[in-house]
Amino acid sequence: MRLGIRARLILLTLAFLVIPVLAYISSQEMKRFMLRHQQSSQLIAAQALAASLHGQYAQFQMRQEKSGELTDAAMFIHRATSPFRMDGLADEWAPAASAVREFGRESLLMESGGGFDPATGGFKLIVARWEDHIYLLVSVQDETVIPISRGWTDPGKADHLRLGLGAPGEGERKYIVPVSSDGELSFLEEAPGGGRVERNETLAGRVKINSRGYVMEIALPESQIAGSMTLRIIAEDVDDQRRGRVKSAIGPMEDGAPGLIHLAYFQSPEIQGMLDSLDLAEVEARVFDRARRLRASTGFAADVSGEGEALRILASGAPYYTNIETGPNGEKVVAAAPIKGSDGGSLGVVILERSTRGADSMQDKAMENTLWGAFLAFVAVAAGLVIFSTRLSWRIHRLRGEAERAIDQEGRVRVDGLEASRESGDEIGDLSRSISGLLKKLRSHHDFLAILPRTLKHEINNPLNTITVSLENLAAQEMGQAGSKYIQSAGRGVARLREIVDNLAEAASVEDSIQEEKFEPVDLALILERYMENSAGVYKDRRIQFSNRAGKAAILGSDYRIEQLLDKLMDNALDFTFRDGTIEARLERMNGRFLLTFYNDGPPIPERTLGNMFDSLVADREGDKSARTHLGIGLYVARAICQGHGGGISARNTSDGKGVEFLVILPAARHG
Amino acid sequence: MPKIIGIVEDDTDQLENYADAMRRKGYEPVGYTRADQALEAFTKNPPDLAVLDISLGAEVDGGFELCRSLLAAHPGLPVIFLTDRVDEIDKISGLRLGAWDYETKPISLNFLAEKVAAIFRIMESRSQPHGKAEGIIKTGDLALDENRMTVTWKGAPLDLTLTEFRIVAALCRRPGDVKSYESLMDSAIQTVVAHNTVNTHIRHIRKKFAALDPGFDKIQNEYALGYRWAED
Repeated sequence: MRLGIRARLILLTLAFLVIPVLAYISSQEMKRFMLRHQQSSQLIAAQALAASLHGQYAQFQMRQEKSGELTDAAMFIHRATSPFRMDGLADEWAPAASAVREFGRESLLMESGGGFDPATGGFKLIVARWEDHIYLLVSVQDETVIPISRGWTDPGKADHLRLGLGAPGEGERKYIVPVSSDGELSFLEEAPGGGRVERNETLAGRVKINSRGYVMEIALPESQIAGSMTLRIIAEDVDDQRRGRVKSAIGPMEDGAPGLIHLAYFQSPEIQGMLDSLDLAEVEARVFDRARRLRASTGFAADVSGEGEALRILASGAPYYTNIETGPNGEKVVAAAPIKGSDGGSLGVVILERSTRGADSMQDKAMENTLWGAFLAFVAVAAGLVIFSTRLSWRIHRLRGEAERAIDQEGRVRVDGLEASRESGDEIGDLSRSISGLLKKLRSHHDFLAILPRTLKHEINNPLNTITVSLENLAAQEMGQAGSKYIQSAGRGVARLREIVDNLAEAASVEDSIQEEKFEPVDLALILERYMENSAGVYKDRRIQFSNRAGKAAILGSDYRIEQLLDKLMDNALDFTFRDGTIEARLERMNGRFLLTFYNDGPPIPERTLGNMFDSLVADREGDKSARTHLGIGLYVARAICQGHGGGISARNTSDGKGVEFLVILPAARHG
Repeated sequence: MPKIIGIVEDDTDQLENYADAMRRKGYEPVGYTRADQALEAFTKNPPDLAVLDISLGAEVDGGFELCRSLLAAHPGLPVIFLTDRVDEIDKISGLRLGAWDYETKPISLNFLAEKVAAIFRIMESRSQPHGKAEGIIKTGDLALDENRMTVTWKGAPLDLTLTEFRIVAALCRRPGDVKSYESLMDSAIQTVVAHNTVNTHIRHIRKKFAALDPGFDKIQNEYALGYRWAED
């Protein structure tokens, strides 16, 4: 494949594409570096935070433990930042997800009948606080939910919760909260010691039955639990509404009291204040206690999945960091440092989370900048190169065109110099000037060659004339037989010399003189017919034939030039045809032109000669035995005549190798 | 008394050869190599006929100048240019100046002498009150008097050079017959050079006829052989 300068340069610009690739590689490196940096700095920050928390946390922990509020089993009350809608839907509880507590098989308090079905009866509990109310979210698993029916006297025949508010045995108030089909919850208070149940109006809630069971949202004044900081909750499952028998009861069991949960406000104001004061940009900090309860946090990310792993690692007591994928493109660094207690054990853990967005966005930004820069550079450089190379190509093209036109088909120089890039100071200008210089030299050489025959003729003619007339005068003397013989041979020599000179001069001027001639319509067929017929009469030892397949062949031309052309072809044919050989002219018409095939029996033309035999001074055919002068001028004149008539001439050997054909093409005269 | 032939030729060898040839034919040659010398001599003593070369030493067109001056002084003087300049423009210039003929070298000395003799014959004939009947050729619209070298076509006179005249005469002597290139050259008292030389003369002759009669087509090319005068 051949590629021009422009294509090559444009291909070169593709090298710019390596810039974004390099940029990508280096930005990846940078990102890795930044990540490492983020990991280590995050870990150090976590350790520092853990160390600084050590004293206060220990105090805090101690105080709470001392007051009996906090055991490892105690459940924290989530501090809500927005109110809850009482609609039985769990959606706005997502921020409190970390405070969930699950009760399942291990919390089975009672069962009757068949084995416990793990799909039934287990529940999840979240306790939250908003302003002066405590909210409960209870999601109970139950394949067969039986709501309370109108007119039932025993709410225990429906699926229900048992709630206990206040310290057991110290004025605790117990409620039955049955599932209702209209979603409204009623809180039926049991009289102390059992017995009558009465509806309590200070409590409110909604229930929603779904495919997995039911969800209850319950709101109660904070004052109901403020004294004891306990709550008793048991989910009782009823599957047979006719018999109304409780099939299973699930609930925590602590201090021998079924369903009892110690509550604690998870917020440790000191720790929270400390975290708040850190004002860590893009960092989420969490402090868990050794019971894996969240004690303080910045932000309220619902997704705490990563913490589980961090907390598991915490068991080893060593600082730790890891990267966690948070989505298809997201990642975060989680660094965890244990808060060491005075006994060397872990009191809790500080977890710092920070997304790698910074590094990512920096990489993206860097990539984007680099890509834009590379793109702009590519466009600018490519445009520059296109312009430059187009101009370069154009200049070279123009120079080439001009250089080609400077010399015509016959190799004559037509101009004095090239115009293209003549004034420019670069290499192409140098090239142009150097070609111009060459052309000038070539031209002056050609001019010299062109006038040489005329000069030669002029210079030789004089002495030739002198010799001619002297020989004539000599011949007029009585010279005797021997003398006149020499005079005759001298005369022949002179005549031969003159022929040479005349031929040269004719060849030198034939093109110009044809140019000056006025062409008229002539019938090529008629000329050929007469010419061949007359020639046949003259050269009786050759078979000279003419076949006309063109009919009348009108061309615009000069009949005597055509005759001169035929003379040259005939001379040539006669030179190479042996006795009784055939010389044949065939005339055909083809596409507005006439093809004259001038054939002669004879030796083939050597291949090396075929291409240049119409140039002057080329005569190279074996078998030329004649004594006539041969300077190869005849065919040169023949070509000049053909070209002067707007046609051309070529030669070829016949396929049988026994003859030669000259093909003359002349344009037909246009009618009208 | 022998006729005086003035010869102006810058090549001394050729000059002497021409002079010898003329002398041999019974003329009295007077030769010069320079135009100024020739003009001075011929103005005082005009020759009966002048043979002039065109290039005379450094004077490229010295022969033309000389011819003009001579004919100004002696209007009837017959002049033949004998030169190696073959260009059309030179020939036309020379004939326009009033030369009888324009011959290119080399010319056979015998032919030159014949030309000179022919010119003297014609001049003599023209000086006679009535031309002789012989030598008059008439064919169709052409009338040709060989002695006086006059040609008329359809009654109108035609101005031909000596060479052209002799070619036309040769052609129309036997209308319909082909005159070969060689015989035409002989008739024109010219050495054979090439067909092209005859062709050039024929073209000039046709042009002169065509100037009188645009439909003139009596001179026909017999390709590869020569020309013939078409029969009526």
